[in-house]
Amino acid sequence: MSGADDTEYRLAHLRDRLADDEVGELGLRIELHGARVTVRGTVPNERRRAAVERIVNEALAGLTVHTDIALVDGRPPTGVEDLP
Amino acid sequence: MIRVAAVGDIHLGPDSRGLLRPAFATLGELADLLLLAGDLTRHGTPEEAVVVGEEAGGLPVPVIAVLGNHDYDAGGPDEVTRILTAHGVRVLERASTTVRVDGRLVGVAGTKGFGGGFAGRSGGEFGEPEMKAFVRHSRECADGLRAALDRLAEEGCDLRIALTHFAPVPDTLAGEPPEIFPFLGSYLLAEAIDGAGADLAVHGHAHLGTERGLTACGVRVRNVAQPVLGRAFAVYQLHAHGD
Repeated sequence: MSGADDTEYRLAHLRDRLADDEVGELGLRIELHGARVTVRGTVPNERRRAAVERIVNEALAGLTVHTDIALVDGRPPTGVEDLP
Repeated sequence: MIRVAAVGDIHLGPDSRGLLRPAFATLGELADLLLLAGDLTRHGTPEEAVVVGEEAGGLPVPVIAVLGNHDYDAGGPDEVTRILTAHGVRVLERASTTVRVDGRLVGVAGTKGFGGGFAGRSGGEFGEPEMKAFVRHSRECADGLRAALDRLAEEGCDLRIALTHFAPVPDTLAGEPPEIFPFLGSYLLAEAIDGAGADLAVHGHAHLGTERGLTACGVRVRNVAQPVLGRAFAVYQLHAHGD
C-alpha cells in the first residue's frame, strides 16, 4: 500500500494516542463512515474536550471529521431505582 | 431498605478537582453508602489519586472502591490504594468489607476483574504464556470475588453486593462494538457471582454500554460508568430479606 488509503490505521493509532496522551480517554467511539469519521462520547470537562478535539484534528488532518463529545453532568440524580 | 449510591469511570485529574464534590456532599440525604466502580483516575498517578481522595474522602457515608485499568496505567496501583485509603476510602481487591445500616449488615465484595469474554465467545488458558497469563488473571480475580462473597455469607450479611470494574455480563455492554466485548468483561465474574450469590452486581468500564442487565441466575447487574448514568452517581434501593 502506498499510504493513499491508510485511514483505518490512522484511526487505530488515534485510539492509542487518546489513551496514552494527556487525556487518557479510551471511552470514545471513533468510526469511519465512508470518507468521514465520527467521534463521540463523554468527557469530564471543557478542557478535556478541547484536548480531544485538538488531538483528533491533528491525527486526522485532511479527513472530514464530525465530533459529538458531551460533558459529564456532575449533578446528583433526580430519582432512585427501587430493586424489590 | 438500603440505599446504595454508585458510580464508576469518573477519570479525575487535577483539571477536574471539585467536579463531583458538590454532588457527593449530598449523599448523606440520598444514600447509605457510596460504591466507586474503578477508573477513578486517568492514568493512576499519585496526583490524580489525591484528587479522587479529596472528592470522595470525608463524606457522610462509607465509601467503598475497586480500581480500574486506568488506575493501573502508571504502574502504581498500590500507591493509588494507599492514597485513597488515607482519605478514608475502603479499596477492595479480591476482598470484602461490611457496613451496618439501621441494624442490617451490608457486605460488599470487590475486585477489578478483567477481560476474556463471555460464555461461548471467550479466551481460554491455553497456548502462549501471554495468553495463559491474560486468562489466568481474569480467573484469579473471579475466584477472589467468589471467596469474598462466600465470606460475607458466613459473616451473616443481610445483603451482599459484588463490585467490579470489568463487566460480568454482556447485557450491560449493549452499545459498545461487539468486537471489543472480550476486553470489557468476563463470564467468570458472573459465574462467581451466581455461584456465591449476591443481591446486586455493580460494574463500570463500558462507557457506551447500558445500565441494566441480569446474570444467568437472575442477579441484577448495573453498569454505573458515569457516561452511561449521565449524572454524578445512581442510587439503588435494596431490600433485605424480611423487610
